[in-house]
Amino acid sequence: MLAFENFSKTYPGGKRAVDRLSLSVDAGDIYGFIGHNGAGKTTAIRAAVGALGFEEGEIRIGGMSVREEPVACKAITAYIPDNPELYDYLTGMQYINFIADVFGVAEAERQQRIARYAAAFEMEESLGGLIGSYSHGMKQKTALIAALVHAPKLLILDEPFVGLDPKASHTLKGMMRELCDAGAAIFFSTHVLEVAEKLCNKIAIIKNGRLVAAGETGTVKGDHSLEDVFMELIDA
Amino acid sequence: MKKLLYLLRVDALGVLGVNRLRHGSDPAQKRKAVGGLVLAAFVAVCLGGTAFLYFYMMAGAFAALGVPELILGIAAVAGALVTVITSFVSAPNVLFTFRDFDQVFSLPIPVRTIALSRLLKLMLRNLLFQGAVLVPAAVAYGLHADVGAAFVLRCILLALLSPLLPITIAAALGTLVAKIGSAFRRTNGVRIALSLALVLAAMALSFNMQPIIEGFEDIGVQLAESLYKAYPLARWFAEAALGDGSTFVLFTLASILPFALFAWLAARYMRPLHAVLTAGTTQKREAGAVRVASMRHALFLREVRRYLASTIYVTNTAVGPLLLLAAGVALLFVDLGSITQEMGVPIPALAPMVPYLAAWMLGMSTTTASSISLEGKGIDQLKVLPVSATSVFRAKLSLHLALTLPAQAVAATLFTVALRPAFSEAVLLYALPAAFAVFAGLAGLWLNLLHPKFDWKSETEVVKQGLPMFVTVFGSMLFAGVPLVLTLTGAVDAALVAYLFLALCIAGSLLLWRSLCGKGARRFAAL
Repeated sequence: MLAFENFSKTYPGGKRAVDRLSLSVDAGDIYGFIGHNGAGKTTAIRAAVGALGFEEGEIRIGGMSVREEPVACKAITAYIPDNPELYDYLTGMQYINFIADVFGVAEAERQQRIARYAAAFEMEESLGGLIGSYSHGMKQKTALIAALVHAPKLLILDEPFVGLDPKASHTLKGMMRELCDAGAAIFFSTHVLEVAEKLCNKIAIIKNGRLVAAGETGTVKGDHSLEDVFMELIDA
Repeated sequence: MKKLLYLLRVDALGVLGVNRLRHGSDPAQKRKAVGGLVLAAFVAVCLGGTAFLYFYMMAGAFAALGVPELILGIAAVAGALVTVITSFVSAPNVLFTFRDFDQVFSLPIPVRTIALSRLLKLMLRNLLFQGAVLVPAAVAYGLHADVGAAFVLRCILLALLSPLLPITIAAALGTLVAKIGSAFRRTNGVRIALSLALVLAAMALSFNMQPIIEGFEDIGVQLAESLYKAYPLARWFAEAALGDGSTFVLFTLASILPFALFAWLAARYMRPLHAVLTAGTTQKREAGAVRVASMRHALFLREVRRYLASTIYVTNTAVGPLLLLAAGVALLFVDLGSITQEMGVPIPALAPMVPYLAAWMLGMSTTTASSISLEGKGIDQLKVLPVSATSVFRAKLSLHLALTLPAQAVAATLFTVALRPAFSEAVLLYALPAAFAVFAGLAGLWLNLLHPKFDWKSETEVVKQGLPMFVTVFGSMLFAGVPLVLTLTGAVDAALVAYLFLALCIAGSLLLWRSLCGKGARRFAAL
């Protein structure tokens, strides 16, 4: 569903943020992307979702090149950045409707999905209010509902659990598993190693722009905890 | 097309806080939004009315010369200049570095649609400015000439097209300046210097045009030709409004083609430019020595750094003091005798008027009117510091005074040398604008406390379009304009007007500071 093929990104000024990254996220995967601050996680994610151009390597979504068929790639992808910039002057419902409009979600499906996800994230009473009046967690939940409203085949999340209360975190994990059971794929970055260890069937660890480990969670961590493996790889 | 409309609709909902008014639940916020709308409407009516009066008088003069249509050409030039000056610093922000860039780019919307939506956003905003110039001019022309419904229709179409070329020029210049700046280590410094140079050049051009415009009564059509040579679209605009089909086509093509080309280029280079313009420095720098400063000094330095970090903040507020200095230097070199003779005013009569002009220029540069809003979502980080609200206010005011008072002192000295006023007039040359600068700074701060906006997507929204900034700039113009007119007409004794103005500034400043320390501090805590 998502494949990085020798992807590299060098910023103006010469900083090589990602160096020959290759990894593949298949349908049904919950793929955790782990690395220290500045390791290149967000660069890789922004390139995959089309927010950052690149010249070296290739990124494919559903077999299509994000460079050659960007709109088709985006049409099956949902992306939630670590700090979603929602429009504070819109109501939660207006924002979700905007996203649903752009993705062409039919009214009946829209209503059913919004009702379901709003209930799951306990947002039914709040969607009529202005986003500017929401807490960080409520904004995160609104972004999640908007992401899920168009039933994406690929969900890309940058630090999705930051700001969510324990119940919402639990709900999100359940939804992620449900989406993957339905054949979607999820690729997300996180610093919470315990979550990655328990939730992900595959994990990649990136250090200074280079992939240092990737594969099935069990294979990557072996008999150790993910934290031990991560610290060992990062300190090496 | 549908996706373009979705993007425009979302932007439109944010305009003037209308959506907040509809869906907000806090009555105080709603009252504030209504107040803001009423004030914005009032300012728009005042501006439109002033423009209309100005154009009406000019149209009368041109009608007497048999060339009433010149008013349309002049309005086209004025509208284009306003658009270029007001847009070129903000254009790169609106086009390439908007806050929700990542989210919008992750949506299944073609890049060309996103680029077009950003350009149209810029265009719609400028349409308001252009409308404030073109509509009064067209009405003024209509009152002096026999026009029909077709004229109105043509004017509407031309007014819709008229921002396209100026926006293209502004956006291309702004992007070039931003791109050049990004190649340097001190990116912001270079951007600020280039932007200020361009703003001053555009202003100098518009001031140079003033004698041409005023000279029409003497040499009429000949000078109109030189105006049209400088901006051919002005001629096409005027002729097309009067029904010339070929110039209508020329105006349309000259407006749309460059705009379309720029839109294509913007779409092509949107992501690379975003990456370049938002990239932080990758060079490793030493942390520098640890420096100790007092709390007051630290707060002031924080304001200075915030100021210098924003190209648009600097270019919008440094123009006044720079113009003041430029005027002071210019007075040393121009032939005052012939100018005053042309104006029909003796040299000694100039000195009492200059302080009000200086005050107006300083009023244009009130950093405080957007200083609270510019804290953005980081306002809490300021509020949790163990410092009083008055210390914060003092720091913000100090920045404004550091910017205005030295420039005013130097300019006053230059004015004194050039005009050789009497001692009492020289004192007023120093004291009056300085007192007004303090008053305007305090008033700007209060206004921003009353009407803060923290959820801006681009600094332009608060620095250029914020209501407090708007009221401060135009309020200053009015506040300094009334005594100027009274002095100019000689209706009231010039000295009496000056001392009254000085007393008002001092009393107003004291009252405002007192109020800021009490109510203002409480309001700051409640932000």
